[in-house]
Amino acid sequence: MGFNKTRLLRVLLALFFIFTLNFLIPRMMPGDPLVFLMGEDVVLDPGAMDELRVEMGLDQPLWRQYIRYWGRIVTLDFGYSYHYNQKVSALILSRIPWTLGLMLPVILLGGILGMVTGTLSGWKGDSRLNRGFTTLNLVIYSTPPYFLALACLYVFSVRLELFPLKGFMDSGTLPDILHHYFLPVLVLTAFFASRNFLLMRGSVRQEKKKWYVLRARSMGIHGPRLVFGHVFVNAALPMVTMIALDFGFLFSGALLVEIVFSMNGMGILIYEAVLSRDYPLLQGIFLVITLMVVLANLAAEICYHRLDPRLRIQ
Amino acid sequence: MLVALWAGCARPTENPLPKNRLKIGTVHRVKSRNILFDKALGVFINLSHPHLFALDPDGEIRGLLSDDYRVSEDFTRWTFRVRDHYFWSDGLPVTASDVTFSVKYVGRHVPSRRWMERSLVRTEVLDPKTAVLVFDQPRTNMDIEFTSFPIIPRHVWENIPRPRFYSENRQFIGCGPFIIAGMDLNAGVIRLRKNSYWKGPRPALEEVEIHMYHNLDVLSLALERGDIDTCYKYADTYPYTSAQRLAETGRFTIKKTRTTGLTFIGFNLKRAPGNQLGFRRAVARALDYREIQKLITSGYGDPPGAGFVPRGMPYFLELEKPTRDPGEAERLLEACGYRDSDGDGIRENADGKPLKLVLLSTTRHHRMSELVAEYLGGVGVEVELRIVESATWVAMKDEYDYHLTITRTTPWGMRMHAGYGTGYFDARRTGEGVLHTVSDPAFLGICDSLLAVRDPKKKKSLARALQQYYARNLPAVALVQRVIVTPTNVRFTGWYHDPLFGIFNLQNFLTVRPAHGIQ
Repeated sequence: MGFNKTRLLRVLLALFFIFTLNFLIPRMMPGDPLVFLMGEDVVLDPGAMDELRVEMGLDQPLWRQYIRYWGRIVTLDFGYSYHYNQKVSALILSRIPWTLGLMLPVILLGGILGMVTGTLSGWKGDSRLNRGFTTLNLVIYSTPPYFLALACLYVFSVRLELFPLKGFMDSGTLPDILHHYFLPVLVLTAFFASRNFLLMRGSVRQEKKKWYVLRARSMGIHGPRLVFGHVFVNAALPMVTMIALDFGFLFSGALLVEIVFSMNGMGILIYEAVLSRDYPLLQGIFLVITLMVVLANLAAEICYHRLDPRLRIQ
Repeated sequence: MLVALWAGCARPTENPLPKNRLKIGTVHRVKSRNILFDKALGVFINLSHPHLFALDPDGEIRGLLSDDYRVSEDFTRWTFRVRDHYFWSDGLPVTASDVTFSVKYVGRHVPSRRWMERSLVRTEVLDPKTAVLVFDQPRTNMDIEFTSFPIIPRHVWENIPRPRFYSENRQFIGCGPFIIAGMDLNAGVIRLRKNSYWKGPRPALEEVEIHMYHNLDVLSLALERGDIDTCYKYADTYPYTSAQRLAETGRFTIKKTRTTGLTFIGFNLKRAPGNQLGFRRAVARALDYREIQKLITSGYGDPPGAGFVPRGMPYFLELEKPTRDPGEAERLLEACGYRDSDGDGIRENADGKPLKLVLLSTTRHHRMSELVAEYLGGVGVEVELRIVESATWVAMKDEYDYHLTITRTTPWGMRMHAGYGTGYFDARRTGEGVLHTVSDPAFLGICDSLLAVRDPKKKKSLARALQQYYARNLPAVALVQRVIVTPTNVRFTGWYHDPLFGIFNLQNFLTVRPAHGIQ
């Protein structure tokens, strides 16, 4: 696979720097995390603030907090969230399945639908249908996801009363959960598929002008074999990067849709942790996102090696 | 995919909504199953954990869990009597020991209440229903404090050393008419059912459900669709513009309640030009209060008086309402030495530098800030808007990194510290929404005197002196007194709003009932 020590070292160095940034960034943000524990209309007792600072370990010098932070990374124990009053690891683990349930179908369906329709659209010549379909995708992709979500919610949930307005579930049965997931998955899939469609369409239009396409045709390769066996594979390379990024930002990518559908997923967790300067929670979440991005990049490299024989030769 | 399509289109069979189940929508987010540490849950447990006292619509103290209290002449010894008919939902009676335990336990563990433990010298239980709290210094307003202080069952909490991380269902044992029967944060629902040991007036409601939404637009759609019967936001209103739309459906009554919450401009009194009285007066004269009322509150708000303390607070003093007079504002600015010497429309200070001020506010007050900037621009004061999120606002105002700021008071905030909004300005204090800008001995003296008296006559005189101080010295300019608009489904009637918690008060859930003849 060509993954040597240098590459491993590069990944480890990247992780070290990113983890260090994950520690520093929340602390560089303005605002005292403790103030928000008290409430908007409370006159604070300075002694109580000092005690709380000691309790949270925020009285320690930054370097000591940093060493403690690394200790927590090694033991995968991020302590307790200031605002959620529970262990960060338990909190993140409780949210991950719900967000995976939302985002995995979106990335997979959006990837498959966008790439297949984008390939067909890019390969076919200009036709009214093709132009219409491209315009539709452009409109969907240009629409802010939260607006698309609100519009869908209004039509399908309020007017047609087909879907619930909020949450991951009511009764907790599988049909009930799927019923709650359907509309947000539909909205996000439409958004991801339209983006992938436009990228893939452009990429295929570039590829089909290349000499290897003519060469393949001269060898008698045509139809789906030519399109999906040759053009698709080459045109898909930029998409690999894009889908890898989607996986990398799997947990933070659905924030606006989570807000519209009132879903307590990872996006909301990140948003609230940032707003309330919940350092332990932010550190835990950033760690998960960092690992996801690094792993997704590694997966993308592996895919590149599989799809592009030139890289294997190098 | 097919399964998802099927699930999406197959609507689960819904039971018809029971007539006496009330569903309340809210944008407050309960983050943890912890009644002592979760701020939103701390309001919702008003139904299960009554406070010792409550405020009546006139802002006067009335008994709730306690029907009687006495205070010693030096205000250090408070004696409370717990009502006989209160029982915890596991069948045990509420006792004086629960009260003394709550004061010590909550005071020890909850940071915002830690001052209580610090100033408590000792507690006594005179008999099963009579509790005594002895403080190290005169405490004249403990009755107000106990309108929001949680009373919890000793037998449940005494063996829990770290309440911050406690999430078991036993914490839901309460003594109010309703208790929390279930909480599903993934579904965004809290369910309350009747407390079978409740001996007070029987509520007409069987169940109460609290539904949490992440944004007001969807909450409005839920109201329109009939998923919820009303909505609740602490110290805040349902959007004025959406209320009319709901009223037009004929299925909602729109209740308007004047609150003691204000939106106001606070001056940074630590630096020029905020430390110049003439400048503060000029700002007060430059503002168009009528237009603010029209544009920001759609006509629902009330123009405030000059004395900062809003109508509805005890001992409110009717002072002349501030009016817009740009000419007078310009004259006052000239008198302070701010003149437009180069004719570019922007005034300069004595050093010849343009008078450019930083107006700090949060996204909540974005439009209001734009309006204020426009009014000040009209009299030659250039304003740079800094609209930031709450954490940054707190950091910047604590570092006095602004000239003007727009923020709000809440009904509780108006009563904290010495009351009448003093908690927002007293420079000896700090807190999330507190400006701590006034260190004038005259002001601090009134605060200390207010903290030291209970005699209504003396209190009235001091409250009036304070309002005159506000009007004379303008540490802040009130922009609008908010009116809270609450849409309620016509299926229910008998709503009761209290000055602190709006509809989320215990009395309301005893009086709300299904309306006759309406399905």
